[in-house]
Amino acid sequence: MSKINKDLKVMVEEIKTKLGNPPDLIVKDLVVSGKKVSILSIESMSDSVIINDFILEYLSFDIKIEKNNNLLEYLYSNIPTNKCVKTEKIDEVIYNLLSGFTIVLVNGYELALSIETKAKINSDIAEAINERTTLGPNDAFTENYQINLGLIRKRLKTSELKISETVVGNKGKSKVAVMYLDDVADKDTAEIIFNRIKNIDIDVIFDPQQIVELISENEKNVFPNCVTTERPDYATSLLLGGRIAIVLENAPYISVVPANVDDFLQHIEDRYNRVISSSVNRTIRFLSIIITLLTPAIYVAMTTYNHESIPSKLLVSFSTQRSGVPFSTIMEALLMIMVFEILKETDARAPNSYSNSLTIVGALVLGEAAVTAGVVSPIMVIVSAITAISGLIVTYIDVVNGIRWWRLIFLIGAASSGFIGIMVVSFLFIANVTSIKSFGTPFMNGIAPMKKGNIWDSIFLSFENKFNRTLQKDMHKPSNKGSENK
Amino acid sequence: MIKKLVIFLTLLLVTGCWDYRELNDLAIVGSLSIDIVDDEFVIAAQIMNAKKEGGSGNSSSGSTSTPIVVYKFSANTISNTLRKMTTESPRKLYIGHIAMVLISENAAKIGFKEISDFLLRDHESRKQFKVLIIKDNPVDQALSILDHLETLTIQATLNSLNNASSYYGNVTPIGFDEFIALGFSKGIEGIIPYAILEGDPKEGEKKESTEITIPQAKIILKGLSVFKDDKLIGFLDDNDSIGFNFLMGNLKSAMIPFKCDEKNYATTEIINYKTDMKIEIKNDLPVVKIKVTGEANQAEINCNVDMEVIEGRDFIMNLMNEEIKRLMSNSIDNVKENFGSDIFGFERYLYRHNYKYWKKVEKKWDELFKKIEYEIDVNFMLAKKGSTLDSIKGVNNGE
Amino acid sequence: MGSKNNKISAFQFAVIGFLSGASLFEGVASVFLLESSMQNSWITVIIALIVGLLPIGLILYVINYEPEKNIIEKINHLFGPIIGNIMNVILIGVTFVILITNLWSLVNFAEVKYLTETPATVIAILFMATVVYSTIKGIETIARSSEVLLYLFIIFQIFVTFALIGNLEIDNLFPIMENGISPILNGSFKFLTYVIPSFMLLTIIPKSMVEDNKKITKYVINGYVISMLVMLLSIFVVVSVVGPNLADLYRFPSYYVMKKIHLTGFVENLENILSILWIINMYICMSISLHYISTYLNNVFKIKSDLKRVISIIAIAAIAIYLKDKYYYSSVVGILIVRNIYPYIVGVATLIIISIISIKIFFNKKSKEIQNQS
Repeated sequence: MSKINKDLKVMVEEIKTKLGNPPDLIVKDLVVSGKKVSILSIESMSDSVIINDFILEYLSFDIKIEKNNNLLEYLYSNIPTNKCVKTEKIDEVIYNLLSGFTIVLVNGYELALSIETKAKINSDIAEAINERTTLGPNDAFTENYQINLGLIRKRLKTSELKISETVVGNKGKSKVAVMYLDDVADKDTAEIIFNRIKNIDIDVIFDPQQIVELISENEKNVFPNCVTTERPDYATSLLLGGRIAIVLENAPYISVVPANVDDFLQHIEDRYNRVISSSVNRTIRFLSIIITLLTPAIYVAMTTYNHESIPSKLLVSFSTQRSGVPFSTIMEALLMIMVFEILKETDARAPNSYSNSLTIVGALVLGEAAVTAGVVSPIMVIVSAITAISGLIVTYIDVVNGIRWWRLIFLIGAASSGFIGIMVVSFLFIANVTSIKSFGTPFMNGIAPMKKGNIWDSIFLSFENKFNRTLQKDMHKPSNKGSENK
Repeated sequence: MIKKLVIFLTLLLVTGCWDYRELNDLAIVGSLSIDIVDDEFVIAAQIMNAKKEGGSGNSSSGSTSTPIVVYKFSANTISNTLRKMTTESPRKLYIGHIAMVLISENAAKIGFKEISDFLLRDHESRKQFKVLIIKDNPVDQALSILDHLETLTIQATLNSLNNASSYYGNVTPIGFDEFIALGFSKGIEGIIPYAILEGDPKEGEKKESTEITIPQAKIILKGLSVFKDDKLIGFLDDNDSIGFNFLMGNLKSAMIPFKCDEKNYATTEIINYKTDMKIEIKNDLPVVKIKVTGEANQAEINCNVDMEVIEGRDFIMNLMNEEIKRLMSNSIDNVKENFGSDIFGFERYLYRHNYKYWKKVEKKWDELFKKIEYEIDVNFMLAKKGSTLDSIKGVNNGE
Repeated sequence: MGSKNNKISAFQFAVIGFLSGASLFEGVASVFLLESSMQNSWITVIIALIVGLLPIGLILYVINYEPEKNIIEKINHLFGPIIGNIMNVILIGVTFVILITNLWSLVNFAEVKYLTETPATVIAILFMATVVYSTIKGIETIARSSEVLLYLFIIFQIFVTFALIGNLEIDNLFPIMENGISPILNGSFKFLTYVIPSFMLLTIIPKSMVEDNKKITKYVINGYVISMLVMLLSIFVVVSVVGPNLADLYRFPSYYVMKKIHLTGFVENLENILSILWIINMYICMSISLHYISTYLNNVFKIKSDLKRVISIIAIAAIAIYLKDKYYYSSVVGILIVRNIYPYIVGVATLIIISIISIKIFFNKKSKEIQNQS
């Protein structure tokens, strides 16, 4: 980390060599008040309009200072720019240059001026793609770090909002900010998170979820540790609940820790609609999660182990439908679920030009043809359709994957012992989900233990909790303070 | 690491599933019939046919097989017989969905306890199936009859049982476990509805019989049969059964016809009613006091009565009350004298509500029952319903 | 995992007791009740409820003393190492019997009703795997999952009660007390021995681990009363829907009564799903007893590392399955043991030990007061 050389020419040569003589490095030499001044900038990262309009125009005026005065200090206080930093180490100069700053070097001085002239290389504020509301603000985070911070500040114009910033990644050097509201969040957790981020040793990080993975200890669960969202209004409401947000440069979404089971049952639109309709929506969501987990398992259990549970009128109909099918029930169920998952995955990845043919093939394969050919029974198609449709009610990818995993385990349990297997696996499921801790706060903190004040609030929505967020204040504090296991 | 262990264990158990049975490995039994011939059980099972006809989508047209199949075997225990059926049937019998069991008169006379242990003990069978006794005919013939309106005969018989008990009143459906409970309870004896077969059962087995408008073979529900301990001792006819059902509160709605002048009948329909039974002790002898109150509705008046005035309605009401009282008294007398079996539960009432007296007379209840006295008080109100005000025959006279 | 600062709430503490108290009801206690008092079973339960408040009071007295220690440390503290060890070993033996009996009851239920051809050992391993998993995760997981399972329990219990209300026949409950009150009293004492030991297992959780621990007393007494009321409701429904004679015939009368649920012609045959009601109880009771034994081994052998703890838990589970196969090897023998031996070993031993501990605490407190005064 060597210091800046007083000699301008040597300095400029050194910077050029260190960067490997890139073709987009621009060096402009000027003479200001009798001293040689060099302006360096990287064309692909900096905005030439700003450089021309402000810096060069100012420097082209006749600046006359007295001989003994410090030209650098004069320029530092007078250049018409709002962000001007004095740098004295070469590595910092290079970092600033690569971040889009303009460097002003004056012959004979050991300091350089870095002026912020970043070009806007990102998209504008667009609509949220994955988390839509029918009637509500639809703006989403973009890849620009400052715009993201601004979107949150716009909604929380309070001095309690605290931001701590650091840089992560040896080669990427992306900026990371940890935000929280001072009066509701737990400061110790925020500090621990910040320190751990500072200690990350990796080349590049693209995604705030990667940061959360790297700083948390137990990653053996299938349910996610953090809530990732691209909507600023949702992020704001999470911050108000006492949680901590992690914003990363170049990522159009932010991660909020700790996660709670409520987040996967809720949608931000619940807070905009009326209380009764939100409660009904939440109940439907809760029921559909249960349906999507249990339907294939209950079907397999009822038709292979516990035949007494089927209503008598349906029994003959099921038996008739199965009479031509070569597979056993379990194989059929696994096959249909796999086909649906493949269909969903290809639908997510395929380019638009193929999607039409995909729909046709999907409808044909899973519809009439398979049933008529006698490969699957019609009731199995219905069961897997119900499963897939109710599974789509959750849009958060990690949770969908978690549910998929558990659905498979339930199916295996049902295939091995019928209803007893389903009961055993549901005990396992409950024990697993209640033992997840995300940053010291238990995952199931709203349901078990139930929040004081309103029993129904996790499943339904109560009037108090819709507006009064202080009921959630203690929900996100870690349950075991003073322990290292987070 | 723990999770891997758990997964490993569950995967291990998938490989050797002991209780796994596919749906189409089962022969679904809709009903059984039990008969005892020469100390051997003769069981016939009615199996629902779940074969797919041709390809899917064209199942109803051109189907060639009957909707039910009947197998008949005999051995010395019921469970053995059911297993023996696999020597003929391609699938193992599954009795978890039995809706009704038909018992022959002979088997019921020998004793109900002989035939009930297997069905009670087996974990697969549901104990709520209904029982029916078939009189005078071989009982397995009743299983093979095809029905016009329902795919499965047994469903037809069940529906007929339910409807007859709701609308006509001479039978009351009784479940297997209810009958066993009655048998175990102190002080009440059980009853089972019975039926006979009319027509030619051989014709009824053929599929062509459903293509003719008049059913060739039918199962007709006749009334209730009386048990003592667990043996069948006799049958009640229509009217006595209706009286019994009235007394026990099993009737839901029935028509009571009675004569309102020398030639013509009038009918009233019972809407709802309540029966109160009390037993009082007079001179150390029990006296049964029965009080019936309820609402009825005039259904058909074929006499010349003016229903608009109070006297007309009172006249009909009194006749109706008399008729109901007669039905119940006949029923009690008949049972008392001919059968001597306390199916009304008088002794059970004493056991429950007057324990000390019951302890005294417990041993000699049979003689007491034969001479028991009773008083019946019937009080029905006539609700004013019906589309016409006056009776048809009364209109002409009014002019 | 293994963190010492876990906190469970007082409500969860009481819920564990509530769910474990009713664990031996189905199949064991209900059959005993019906056999001994027939149609007066509900009176037996009411009397048992009132009489049982005394042992619960003693247990709460023991819990409230020295809130930092669990019962093993308390006994060692009060009685010194030698006698303390003997008493601890007796209590461990009692807990082992509770664990094995619950396991047997659960396996029996599953075997008779659902999986008749699967070997019993396989079913035992299946259930034990779940219990081992939740015990390994720690007491916090047991407490939270018991709270979640409580909500499931409430929903199913309310559903069953309301679905069966139409079938109640109050006449089945007469005659009342035909033979006087002495068989009822005998029955209620023996019935209590099936319920109280599960509450004794709660003492393994030191009071300091419970948040808002001023409410423990209120919640535990509520939990006990409600647990007995649930059992009362259950036996009441069984006797009045089906009649005492027929209910006496069956080994699992509640399962049989649930077969009678018949709503709208379609919702029937739900007894397979609804019997999870009783399986929840047995599962929680097994979890807490396994936790008790594992805590004792941790104390005695000073186990600190996680791996050794996990291995010890799995070893205890394997021993339990082996002992169950050895002693409860058929249902006939099992029923005999549970009827004749279990109340005396478990119930009487628990009562005696709890009484001894309470008396010693009382004298200790008295001598401390005298010391402070003088």
